[in-house]
Order: sequence, then structure tokens, then C-alpha cells
Amino acid sequence: MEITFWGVRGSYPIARPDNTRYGGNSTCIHFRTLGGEEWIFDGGSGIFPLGRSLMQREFGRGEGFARIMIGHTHWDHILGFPYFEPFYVPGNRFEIYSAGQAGADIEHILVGQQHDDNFPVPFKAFRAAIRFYTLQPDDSLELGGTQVRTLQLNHPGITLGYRIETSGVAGSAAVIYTDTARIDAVRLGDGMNDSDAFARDFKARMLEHVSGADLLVHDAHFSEEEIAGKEHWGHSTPNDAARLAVEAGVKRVAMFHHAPEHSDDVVDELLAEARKIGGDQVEIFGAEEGESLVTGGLGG
Amino acid sequence: MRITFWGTRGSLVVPGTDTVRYGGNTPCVQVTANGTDLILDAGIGIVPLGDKVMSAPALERQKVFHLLFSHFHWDHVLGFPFFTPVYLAGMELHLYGRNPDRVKETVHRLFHSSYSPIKGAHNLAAEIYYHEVGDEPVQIEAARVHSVPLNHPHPGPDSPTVGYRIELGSRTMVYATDNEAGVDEACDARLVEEARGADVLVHDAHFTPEEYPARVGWGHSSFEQAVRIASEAGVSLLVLFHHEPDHDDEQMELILERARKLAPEGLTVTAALDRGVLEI
Repeated sequence: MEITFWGVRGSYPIARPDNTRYGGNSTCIHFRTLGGEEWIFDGGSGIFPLGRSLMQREFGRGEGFARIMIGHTHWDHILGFPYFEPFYVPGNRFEIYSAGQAGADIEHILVGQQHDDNFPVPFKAFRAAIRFYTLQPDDSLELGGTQVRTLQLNHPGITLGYRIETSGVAGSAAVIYTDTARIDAVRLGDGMNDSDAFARDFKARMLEHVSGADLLVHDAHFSEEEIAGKEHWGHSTPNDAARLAVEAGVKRVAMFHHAPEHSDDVVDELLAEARKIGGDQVEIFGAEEGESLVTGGLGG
Repeated sequence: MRITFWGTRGSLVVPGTDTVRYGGNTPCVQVTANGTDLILDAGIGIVPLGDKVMSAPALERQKVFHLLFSHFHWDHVLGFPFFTPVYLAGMELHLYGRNPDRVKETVHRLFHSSYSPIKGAHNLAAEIYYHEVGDEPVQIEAARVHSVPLNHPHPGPDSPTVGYRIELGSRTMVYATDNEAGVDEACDARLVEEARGADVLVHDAHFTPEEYPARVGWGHSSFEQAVRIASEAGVSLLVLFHHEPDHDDEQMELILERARKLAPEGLTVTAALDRGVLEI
């Protein structure tokens, strides 16, 4: 699979002269699977430049097809959808997968985002064919030769982490945890407080979900100093991500969801700290807009 | 009067090396004079403004904020949930619009549990008050402010997109972002009247004249129309605003140069840039 970062920033997109290397767009990642399919994770502001790029190809001619997986529906993960140009082109086809939020399904949430007061074009006016699918935690499904497994993350509301791999191809697994907090400090997700067994098993289930992945894209929002007193905000530090990777035998970690107030230099400092934990075992880097990676070979 | 441009980009945030000089954050403008402090719109530019507020020692920190909305399209409101003072007890936010009920609806949508970990505006620690600014001037501290409807697609006559005329101290500023000039004569004439004699007009200049014909009805002006409104109103300074997301710094320099060539004698033209400050 080929994986390209289009938005790596958490909370909100921001333009700053000192964040241009890692980038200031909010979350969006593009996958080209080994079967040659297009997958998109999240629709933060990074989906606008991604859309521009797709318009140069079959999506500009109304012949595109992509699956869109949404981790959760907080603003930074969906605010780019109204500006995604391939949605305006008849003939394009999209499948959107999400767990929804707070009892609302994903269609309702995206239609609500384009309320008359807040955007001049309603969601229903998009010309592309868009179908919605509801996912649950611990779902396991196969879509076009690609295996998907979901896990609920420790973040307010309902947030899914995704493990995706090409069926039968070793070393192709990528795991995406955009927003998650330390389970030993807080329990934030819907339902997580209902059962002690849930919290006890959470770590084990996460380790199993991540186990042996070639690439882990992980929340690295806070520094160790910043997270003190903000454990309940639903985010991790790069050191947390590095420890998980070491324990689960992950080969590479892309630190993701950079805090909007972090300059490129601050991100570099946090990476240097996390690399001490990763040692020789885990390759650690910062997700950077425009950067592409490959797991398990190149597709399509 | 001191005008600080915290966000100047239209439509959506465009970070990157191409927009470092003019900036890529969506609209937020701060106007201060004689101890009065007004904020116009809450695009992402309001976040660094909030950071500046928070950088002051707690006891000296600004506690009262007056925020006026032109309308509620995302590029003018999406910074609000990230404006740190809304989370602090003891902060007092006064929000103004042509229709305060609609301001409130959007604020509630911004913090709704479907979209926000805050799970509802009722969980905000700051006190929030809603106020109407209509045709008649209202007093906001030392400022006299009234609104003027603009030509921009927005649902219903009860909540048009508006500009603001702000008289503060010895200066007058007119803020008219998101206005398509040159199609509705009555609307243009009214804005020209409202802007007459103002010291500064901040006006939508989203398009070049070449881009505009394919975008009629989108609710934005070319810089040519912005210059025309400013010259008809006889203002002394025009600030081009709400830059098209595709215009990189190089194009912005060309746009400014072209707009200056169109300006009659007596009209100075500049282009707003993020974190830029004007003293008039």
C-alpha cells in the first residue's frame, strides 16, 4: 500500500510560518491499496489539497471511486468535506464509513455540517454518488481484498482506530490511531466507564490490534510537560506512542495529530525524545504533509 | 485606531510555504482605540488572538470581549471553539449579529456533541451574551456601531450577511467582507453611502477580474470592484481582504500592484496580511 499524508495537524488547521515543514492542515491520509483502490482516512482540511490532486486524475472526469473512513466526527476530522472537489463531480462514487457520534449517524452529521447558515452549498447538492456505512468497535470486514479491523480508542465520544492490511500479504498492516489518551489515566470513550473489565482489557486488546504492524500512525499531540493536567483531553505524547510500538513489535511509527501550537522545531524535539524509547527496534518519524510511504509493496 | 489582522484568507485555511507572507488563516480582525476592543469574525485567526490574550499574566488578562459576526459561514466562525477565553470562568463574551438568535444557533452547533468533545455550549465556563446590531447605531464601550446588509448568499432576509460601520475615537472603519459588488445597484449604493468619508474600508477582494466572470453569484468581489466602491465612497484607505485560497504570495503581490494602478488619486490601497497591524 502507498500511504500519503495530506493533513497531519490536530484540533484545527493553522497557517504559521514555523509549521510549513510538517504542515498545518488537519487530518487526512490517502491510501492506495495493493489492489489499486483509493482509500481516504478523515476529511480534515487536508482533504482539500488531496481533492485538487484527485481532480487531475479520474475523479476530474467523474470516473473515480474511493472509500472514506472516518475515525470520529470532531471538527478537525471532517471540516474539509464541504471543500472536497470530487464530491461536486457527477459520476464519482464514494463509500463513507464511520461510527457516527452521540447517537447520530454519519450522514446526519455531514448533512448538518452544511446547514444553510454555515455553508452555501448543502450536502445533498453534491453530484457524486455517496453511500454511508455505519461501523462499530471490533468490526472486522473485507473490502476489495483489504482487511479492516476497528477498535474503540480512548477519546471523548466514539472514536475508531483502524487496522488495515492486504489479505495474505505479510508486512502490509498499517494501524491508524489519530486520537487516543492513556487508558491508565482516564476513560473517555462512550461506554468505557460502564465496565471495569473494559478498561482492564483495553490495553491488551490494543496491543493485539497493533501487533506486528509495519506502520502505526499515532496521536502525538502533547509533550510530557503539556499533558500534565490535560490527560482527559483525549490525546497522547510521542513517548506513549513509542512505548506502545515497542511493546507491540511495530516497525515504524508516524507521529501524527501534531498540536497546532507546535512549531516544526518543537515537533523535532519531541521526536528526538521518543526515539530514545524506540531505540533500534522502532523507526520513528513525524508525519509530514506530502510525504508518501509504502507498506507491503506498491499497488495498482 | 489600531487594526490587527489575525486572519485574512477566505473560504478555508491554507497553510504552507506559498502563503507564509500573506498568511493562510481565515478572517478575524481586531479593532482597538481609547481602551475599547472589538473583534470582527471568528475564523481561525481568532486562535492566535486568544493566545495573545492568554500570554498576559492572569490578573492583567483581558476579561471582556466584544465579538461581531458578519455571517456564519464556517470560515468566519470555526475558530470560536478554539478561542481559549471561552473555557475560562470569569471571562465575559458579548456576541453580536444582525440576528442574535442565529448567532446563538451557530454557537450551539459549534459545540454540539456530534462535532465537539465539549458536548454542548452549556459546558463553556465563560459567560456568553448575545446582542443585536441593526441599522441603528449601538454603543459598544466607546464605539458606535451599526450593520449594513451585503450581497452574499445567505438564507433568508432575517439574517443577511452584514458589514459594520465602526466609529471609534476620531476614526471610522467600515468592514465589508463577503460582498459581491457590481451586481446589485441598490446594495452597492447603500454600502457606498455607509462607507462615505470613512478612514478605512476593509473590503472583499476574493477574485481577480479574470477569475470573477466564472464565479458570478458566489458572493465575492474582484479587487477591481473593491477599488470602485472605495473610490465612489471617497475613503482614504482601502484594505483588500478575504484572499482567494489559491492566491499564493507571488500572486498577491501582483494583485496589490494591479489594484494600486486602478486607484484614483487620494485612495491608498493595501492588502491585509495575517498578523499585520494598521495604525490610523
